[in-house]
Amino acid sequence: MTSTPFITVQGLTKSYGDLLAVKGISFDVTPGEVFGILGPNGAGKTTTLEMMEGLRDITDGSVTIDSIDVASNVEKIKSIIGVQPQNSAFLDESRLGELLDAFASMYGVKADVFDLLSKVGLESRAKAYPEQLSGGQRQRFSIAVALVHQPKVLFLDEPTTGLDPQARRNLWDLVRTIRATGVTVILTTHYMEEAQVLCDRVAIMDDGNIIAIDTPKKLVHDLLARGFKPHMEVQAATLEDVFIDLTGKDLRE
Amino acid sequence: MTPKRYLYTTWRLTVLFTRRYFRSRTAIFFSVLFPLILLVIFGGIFGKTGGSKPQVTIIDQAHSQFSGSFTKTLKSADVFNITDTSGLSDARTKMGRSELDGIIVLPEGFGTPNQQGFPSGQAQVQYDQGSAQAGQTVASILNGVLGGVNTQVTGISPPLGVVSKSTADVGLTAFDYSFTGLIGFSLLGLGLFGPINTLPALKKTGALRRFRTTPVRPLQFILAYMASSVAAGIVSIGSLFAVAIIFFGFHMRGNYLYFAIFALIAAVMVFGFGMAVGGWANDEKQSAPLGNLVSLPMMFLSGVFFPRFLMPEWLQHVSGFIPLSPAIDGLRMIATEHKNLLELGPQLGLMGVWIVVIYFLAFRVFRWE
Repeated sequence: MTSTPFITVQGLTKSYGDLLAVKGISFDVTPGEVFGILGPNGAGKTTTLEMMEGLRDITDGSVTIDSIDVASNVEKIKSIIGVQPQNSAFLDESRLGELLDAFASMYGVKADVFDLLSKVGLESRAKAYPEQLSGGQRQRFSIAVALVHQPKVLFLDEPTTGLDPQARRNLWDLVRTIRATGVTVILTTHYMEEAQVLCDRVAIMDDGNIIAIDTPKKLVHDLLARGFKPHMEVQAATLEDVFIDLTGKDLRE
Repeated sequence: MTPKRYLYTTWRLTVLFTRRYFRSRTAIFFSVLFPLILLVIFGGIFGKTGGSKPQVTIIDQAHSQFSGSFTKTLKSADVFNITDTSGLSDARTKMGRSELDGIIVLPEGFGTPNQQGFPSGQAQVQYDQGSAQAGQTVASILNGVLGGVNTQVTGISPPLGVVSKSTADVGLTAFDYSFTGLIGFSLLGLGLFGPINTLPALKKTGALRRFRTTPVRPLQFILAYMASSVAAGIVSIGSLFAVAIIFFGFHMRGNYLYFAIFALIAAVMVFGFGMAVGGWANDEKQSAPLGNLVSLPMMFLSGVFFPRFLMPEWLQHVSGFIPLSPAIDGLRMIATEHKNLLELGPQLGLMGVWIVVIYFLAFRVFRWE
């Protein structure tokens, strides 16, 4: 990666009293990259993300997005980033089109409802209510809402948690499409496979620290170079592939 | 953020909330239908005992042409609610059950010409000892009617007389007094119970967290929510008025515009309390006890169900400071006493103080999640 960093995180720290949730982490993200933050539950992924989004006070260190300091320009930052929070919900008894319209208005823009819904494969559901959507549809709609003001950066916090394999793969396709439009994507996940297929680079977090950061390929390569041998014989396909093959790859509505 | 963009966002959010509101059956039930049901119950209670016209029956024992036409005149004069009974004993039973305020008896020979050739006789009013006042009222109304008949048949108007004039244009009924309490109830339903029940639920699902990721400000959210509640309030209070006027003969003394302005200020005040509690509370465990603490005094001591002027004096003084009290008092004074906004200075002042205090607090404690 040679291009200049688009997002710079430096010595980012979050403490709750004596408890250090994030311990002075630093990393850069280049424009147009899909950057993954991996780690077990409680590693500090969401806290890191929320500090980058301006939703949580930064105890120490700094985050800069597109040369704007997050801590001192929260409102400016909010208008150039799109955020899909973990398990977020929408107002019930409001149609998808109306919600998109309202969210666009919060950024002072008008929403092209059809275009946004087409992007996430929900073009026929403008009049539906969020409570009528399946889990995967809801996540995709949530991404459509995050894209309503054409942000430069998209933050996805565990976008595929709780989704079935088809819906998950469909969401991966969606993230790739978004990436192709030049949007920088930062996502957290605890699915290694997801990180491997989706992310250009990943940071592995544990206990508030980044313990490794590189391309998935390089990380695996380094591991093998250290003399690592997999416990199991490597299979050419997984049970999930069998499942997908038998039930069909297309997303089931 | 430019003011134009600020207002545009607020407006679109208002549209979103208002649409959502009118789709929600529970919300419609509690803010529109429930007050209407109360209105019908209240109207039924007060309509019976507090009607402006006394309930009477006429027992015609004279069976003459004169007594017949006199009965007709009474019926068409529309001063009494006249019920038919099968006879004097039936009428007395009904009076014993308080179904009648009085019995008008036209005795035998009522209307027989006297020495001057004019019809003469004494109509009799019988009343229950328990409701002597109602009986006196029947007698004096009847006296007035007979006075008119006398003038007509003799062609001489009495040189001296009394013209009685009510301070209000038409007699006020107990229903007229209780109606503003129901408006207060509707304000509570929308402004207080609405945010207290809705906001913690939206926080729990994470729907409000999503707002936080955008540049929207809490004030825009609060204003939009307030505006959509006002829209719902117009429908709610409008239908209360319609039903009250059409079915219960509600008399509106004052100016509708004053009433609307005053009700709007009252709604803004009540909404501040709902917003303070609902905006602060993260779940029902927090909102329920605090909500009850705020709503119960307003519900029972502010004149929603029983007018404050019927309370003991010391309680009137104390309850006068409860936020909803000046609101209901003021609405009642406009509706029944013809007051204008200037005359309601004390009520508006007290509400103004509450508005400043509660919104200051509501902004401080508001949380998106």
